[in-house]
This record gives sequence, structure tokens and C-alpha cells, in this order.
Amino acid sequence: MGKNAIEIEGLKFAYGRNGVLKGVDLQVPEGSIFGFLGRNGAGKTTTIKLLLGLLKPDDGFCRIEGIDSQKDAISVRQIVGYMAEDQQMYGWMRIEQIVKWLASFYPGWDDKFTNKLLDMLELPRKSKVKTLSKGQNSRLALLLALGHRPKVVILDDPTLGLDPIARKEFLRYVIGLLQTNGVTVFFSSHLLYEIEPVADHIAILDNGVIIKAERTFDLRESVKKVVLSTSQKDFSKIEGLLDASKVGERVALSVENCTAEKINKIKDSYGGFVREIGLNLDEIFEAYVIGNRGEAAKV
Amino acid sequence: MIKPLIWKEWHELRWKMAFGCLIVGAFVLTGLKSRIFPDIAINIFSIVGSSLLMPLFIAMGLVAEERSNGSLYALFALPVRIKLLYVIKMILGAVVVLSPILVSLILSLLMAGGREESISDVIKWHVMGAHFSIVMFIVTVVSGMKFSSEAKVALTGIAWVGFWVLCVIIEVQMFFRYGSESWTMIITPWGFFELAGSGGFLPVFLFHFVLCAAFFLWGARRFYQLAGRQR
Repeated sequence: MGKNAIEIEGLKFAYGRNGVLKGVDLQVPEGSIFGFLGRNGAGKTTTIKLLLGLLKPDDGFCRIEGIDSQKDAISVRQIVGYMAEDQQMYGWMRIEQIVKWLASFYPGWDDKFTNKLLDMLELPRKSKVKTLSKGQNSRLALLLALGHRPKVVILDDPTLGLDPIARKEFLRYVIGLLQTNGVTVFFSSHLLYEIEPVADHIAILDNGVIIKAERTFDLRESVKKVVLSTSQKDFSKIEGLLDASKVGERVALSVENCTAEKINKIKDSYGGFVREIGLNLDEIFEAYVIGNRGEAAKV
Repeated sequence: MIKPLIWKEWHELRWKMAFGCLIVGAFVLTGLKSRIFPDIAINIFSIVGSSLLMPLFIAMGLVAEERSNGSLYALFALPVRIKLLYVIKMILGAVVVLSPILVSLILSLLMAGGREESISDVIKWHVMGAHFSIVMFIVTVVSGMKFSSEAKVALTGIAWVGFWVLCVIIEVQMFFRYGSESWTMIITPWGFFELAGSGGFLPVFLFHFVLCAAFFLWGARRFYQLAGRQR
């Protein structure tokens, strides 16, 4: 088993009485691009702030590259490249000024690499930050997160507010710059189509806990939609049923760990098998997060 | 680590400092040169004006401005202790708040020291102004820390001034009704003016030193809490 770049265990956090994280457990393998999914307000940003030592957990711990985020937050921030959602930098600084300014906080800042990135990301060195477009601003934030050659990069909804073209362009840079360098990328987003082509691992955060954490490929393989033409209404006995919905005369069942054996069992129990469909990440996420599993599986 | 943080704060505050020094400097220079008013009046106008407005002006921009434009969260992500960010912000802010009073003091001493007022009186007025400025600055920054609107921070500062004015009114009422000092003046940073003559200098100074220290520490805690907040 490979080493984990990020380890989170039993993490609990509440804003006053509002419990946001209710025991998060997560392992992020070293060198992976890890998609951290959740609806708006699910606690993704809170988890990231706890990882960076910007918040104190009520219980549990998190470590990045073996360093405890609470005990040594400064060392954690030294080895992490962080890009916040809708990150704004100092508008009065010029790009070359902000790069130089930030470099003074990181002993391992790589000037050569940063210069290369400035050209690659097409950022005008002399321009003031306030004159940059949203796309350029995101690219600058990415550059600033990478300049010290971090081992772990945390991107918190990095494409928030970007138009579809700028978003695609940004993701192209992320893939190009990070996938080949062995850097661990922790990518939080609520836009699943943005995560799908990039992430090799996925975790879904819902209601304060991780409800699923798996390799993207395995997740796609294991969750299937089974379409039946049946008059039966109660499907709660199906093991791993995530969602059941009626579409006209047919019933669509989203099932996890959907092996051939399980499909045969469904066929035998309910009859009227029509077909089995693979789901995209968007549909899988929906099934896990808003699926009417268990007792509510009556359609 | 400290140098780049000072550089950043200095770049953000230097124009405000220049503006404050220019206005106060021009006023003192013109007032003392033209001699339309007595020297003491010019001193009091410049001290009261700068010790009321400069702390408000600086406190408004110190945290709230960075919160509203989102840059504060980039600052928190730096590998620097959050308390250090706070201390540097407060020290640089205090220096800028005091700078117009220093300009006024230097001009007053050079142009009118010993002319109508003794040099020690000129210094005394300016020390009182500096005291008021620092108290006003610290309580405004700290009590308005969680506002991301600069206007709300300014209103917080104005509310403090209103509270202190109320203390003065109570003090005056007590004096006229019962003929005794109530020591409510100790609460206001203007207590110096009233109590300095009756041996109250030290209690006023100590009271406000403790008050400012308590607010400063509370501010460090509130600033740290901002790191975990949304914009």
C-alpha cells in the first residue's frame, strides 16, 4: 500500500451549534489527483481550513505529509500550495511584485520555475493585479500556489466564477502542470464534470461525513442503473440501493457494488429486466447525495 | 518573514499617512503663521481633529477593507503565524495614526514653542492627543473586527466617541448637582484634560493602558477567528 499524503481521522467541527463535520475520515494517496465533492455548504472549505490549521477541530486530527495541521500549521502551509475559492490578491501590486513578495515567505521558492510558469500561463509581468481578468486572476493564483514547488496542492473550488472556456483552459493547465510532476492534488469542487476527467480518486462529503471514497474508475464501474419494467413498488430489499425512480411504466434503480450476480438477483426477484446502464460521475453523485435509498425506496 | 509583511502594510498605509500629515501640517502651518487664533486653539483643533479622524480612517481600512476585497484570506494562507500578521497590522496602523500628531508637535515647537504656550504645555497637549488616538484606534479596530464593511467599522468608532461624550455629560452633571467629581471621566480618553490637574493623570493612564492591552489581546483572538470565516 502506498503512502498517504493527507490523512484525516474522526474530524469534527461545528460553527456554534451548527455541526458541519461530524467525523470525517479520509486518506489521500501520495501523487493522486483527489476530487473532493460535496454540495454547497457541505463542509468542503471547512475541511480545507482545518487541513491548513486555520481552524481548530472539536475532535479528530489531520496530517499532511505526516505533519499535524494543528501542532505545526506553519510547516503545513510551507509544504502546501493553496488556492482558495474566488481568491483575490492585492490589486495594487504588479504581477512581478506579488511573485517576489510571496517568494520571501517560502525558503524553497523556485524563481526559474516561476518565470517559466509566467510565460506558460501568459501572465503579463508588469500588469497590476487589479487589471487582470478573472481567468488571468485564477492562473495567477495557481502560479502563486505552485511557485514553491509544494508536495501537496489544495485547490478549493478554483474555477468558481469562471466562464466555461476559462474553466476548461484552467483545468488544462492544472492537468498539464500537476499530473506529471508527482504532486498530490486535493481538488474540491461541486462541479462534477470538472472533476471527472481530472481526478483519479473521489470522495463525497455529505451531511458532515464522507459517504463514499474510492478510485474514480472503480466508482464508475461499481455504481450502475438497472432499468426494470415492473409493477412492483417496494425495492427496499435490494442491497446497496441508492435511488429508485419511476419513469413512465419503468423503474430505474441506482445500485452500488452492482455486480453481475447482484443484477441476476434483481432479475429473479422483480422480473421485467430491460437494461443496465453505466452512470457518469454527476449521476453517481446525485444517487449518493439525494438518492431515496432504504425505507424511502418505494416508488 | 516580518520585512515583507511590513512592506505590504506600509504600501497600503503610506498614502493615508501622507494625506493625514499634509492636512494637519498645512492647518498648523497656516494657523500658527497667520495668528488669526491663539496658538492653543490651533493646537487643540489640530490634535482633536487628527485624533478623532485618523484612527477612524485607518481602522476602517486595516481589516475590513482586506476582508471585503478577499485578500485577507490569501494572507492567512501564508506560512506565517496569524498573530504576527495582527501585531504588524496594529503596529503599522498605530504609527500612521500618530504621524499627523507628530507633525503637529514638530511644527508647533518649531514655530510657536514658548511663544504663547510653554514648550512643556505644547508637548502635554500632544501627548494627550496621542493617548486619545491610540485608545480610539485600538478599540475601533478590535470592536469592528468582524465587520467586512468599512462603514460599519467607522460607525463602531463613532459609537465609542458617543459613549465617551455621555461619560463627560454625566461627569458635568454630577459636578454641577453635587459639586463633586464622579470619576466617570476616567473612562474617557479625554480624562487627561479633566483629571490631570487634580492628580488623576496616573489613574487615567493606567486605566487606558489596561483597557488597550485587554482590547489588543481580544483583538488577536478575534483576528484568528476570522481565518476560519467566510468572506
